Amino acid sequence: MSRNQRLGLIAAAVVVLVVAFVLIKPGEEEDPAPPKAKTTQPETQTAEAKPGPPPVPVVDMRDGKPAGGAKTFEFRSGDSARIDVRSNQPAEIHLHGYDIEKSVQPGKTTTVRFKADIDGIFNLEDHDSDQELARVRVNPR
Amino acid sequence: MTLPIAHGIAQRADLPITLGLFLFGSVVVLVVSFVALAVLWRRPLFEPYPWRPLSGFLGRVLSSRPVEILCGATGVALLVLVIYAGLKGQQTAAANFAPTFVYVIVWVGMVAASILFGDVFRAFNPWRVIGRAVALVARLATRGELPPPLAYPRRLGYWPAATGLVAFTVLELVNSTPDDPSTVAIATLVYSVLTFIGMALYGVDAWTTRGEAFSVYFNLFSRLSIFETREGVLGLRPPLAGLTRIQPGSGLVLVVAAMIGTVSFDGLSETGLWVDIGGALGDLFGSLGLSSETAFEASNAVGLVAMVALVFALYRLGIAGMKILDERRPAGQLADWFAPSLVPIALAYVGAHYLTLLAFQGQAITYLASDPLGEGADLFGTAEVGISYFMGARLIQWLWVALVVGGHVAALALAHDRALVVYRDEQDKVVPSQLWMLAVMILFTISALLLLLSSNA
Repeated sequence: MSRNQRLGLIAAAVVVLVVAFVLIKPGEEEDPAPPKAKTTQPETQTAEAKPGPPPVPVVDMRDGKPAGGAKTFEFRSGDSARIDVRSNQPAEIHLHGYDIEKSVQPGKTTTVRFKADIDGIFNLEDHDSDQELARVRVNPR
Repeated sequence: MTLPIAHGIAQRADLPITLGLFLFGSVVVLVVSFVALAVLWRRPLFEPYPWRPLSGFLGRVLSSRPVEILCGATGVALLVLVIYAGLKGQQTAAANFAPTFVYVIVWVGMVAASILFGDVFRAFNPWRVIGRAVALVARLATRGELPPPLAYPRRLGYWPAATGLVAFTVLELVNSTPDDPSTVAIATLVYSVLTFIGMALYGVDAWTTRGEAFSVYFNLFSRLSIFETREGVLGLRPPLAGLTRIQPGSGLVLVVAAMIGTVSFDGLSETGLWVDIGGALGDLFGSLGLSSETAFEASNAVGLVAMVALVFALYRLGIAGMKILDERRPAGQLADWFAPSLVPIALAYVGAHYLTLLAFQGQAITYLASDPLGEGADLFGTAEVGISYFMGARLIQWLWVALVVGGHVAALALAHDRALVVYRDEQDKVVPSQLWMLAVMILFTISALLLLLSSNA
């Protein structure tokens, strides 16, 4: 293969890659859906009919375990995130990565608030037992 | 579906890459592979390669005896600290020095250091330092009448290192409590004893270059770097070239298959596919009477061994492609000769899978160093330093894809260069002999992207 043929081939390859880049748009998220909690829980479904803000994700702890299993709550990078935690017994909870620690008292709702500025997947855990309570998933914007 | 975050020490798990990035990465791999076939060179680039000593002050300092002693002493001190902190410190993975140091700083960090600065592990290797010190004392005590070590058996080759690597990943990925500080300390103690036995039998240097798993592992990666020490003198060489000077030996293919296969299993274990397969296997083992924890570990062991075996088999398929054109050379010999060309693919797997573990969790060592036992100490005033998540998911994902594509290109280049040497008298076989191997490498590379697409999806 001559030098010119090789250069031509490389040029053709670059063109193919540029076209592929434009067609596939690899830099964009395929799912521009608004932030949502993947699983809705009965507690958050209010009876009001008027459209309001999306329901606040709730973790309901029963004897140190999340009722209905650990759920995944999704946020978008930059969101002001909020998770409500309730428990039938006292607990210390810890959101990894964001490193937020809170005490939960029975009969009261503890609200974990944070600006979702670190993307990735993080565990919300019971600090004493390391039991996973929920998973926080922050997607890039 | 909820998957456990792999390591108890990690605060954050990675998001999967987008489908678009997966497709684009795959297109790049295919296009690059076909272009490579057309523009390949005709004379070996790497064999032989130039090496020149690093002159000047820096070269002299780095090759000097005080620096050697300082590095060795640091290595020994850290080994003692890992064992002491693991046994005596607080038994919480995230608050103890030992798990983060072993799984993040050494296991992943040393790979990065080896790529950038050469065989750094050799300088810090505590077992080598202790072995040499003991040998020196023994020689003095016996007035030079110490019997020489046994000759290292040819058939043993790299098998002890391959076995050691698989054993380490069993500890890390099969075991249900890998981050337990005392587990880390006891494993370190057991491995130290085995290493000293190997050194006592076959000599410190023979065991370090072929038998000791971490030396062999980090040395393979260090061969991608531009730094090489010859007879105690630090020098420079072209990147990648060092891989051509590996002594072939039996078991080398298994070492490389273990490097790729174990990381593949770590990736696979975060996918929905493994939740189904591993769950079914766990149920099967449970029905045989194993406890749920043992059944979980048994299914992990099956997955780990299966992935290493799959990588091994695919590589041998690439070698079988060479055998079609080559009736003279035994397949086993070809397999040993070409095994080093897979090291950049292993780097791509390790790099993509553990990049954020090192970049983010690696920072934890600053506060763990100040409080290694997790008892509230603050030795260096860094106990309250936090982890900075300085890279966003977008940047991380592009870095992953760049690593995977770069590893693929480097592997192609090395395999082609080796073919030029092996078939130097049969030029017509150089390119055709590598076609199956090219297909196998494309498969490895696209699998790496597929794992990035489906992990934690």
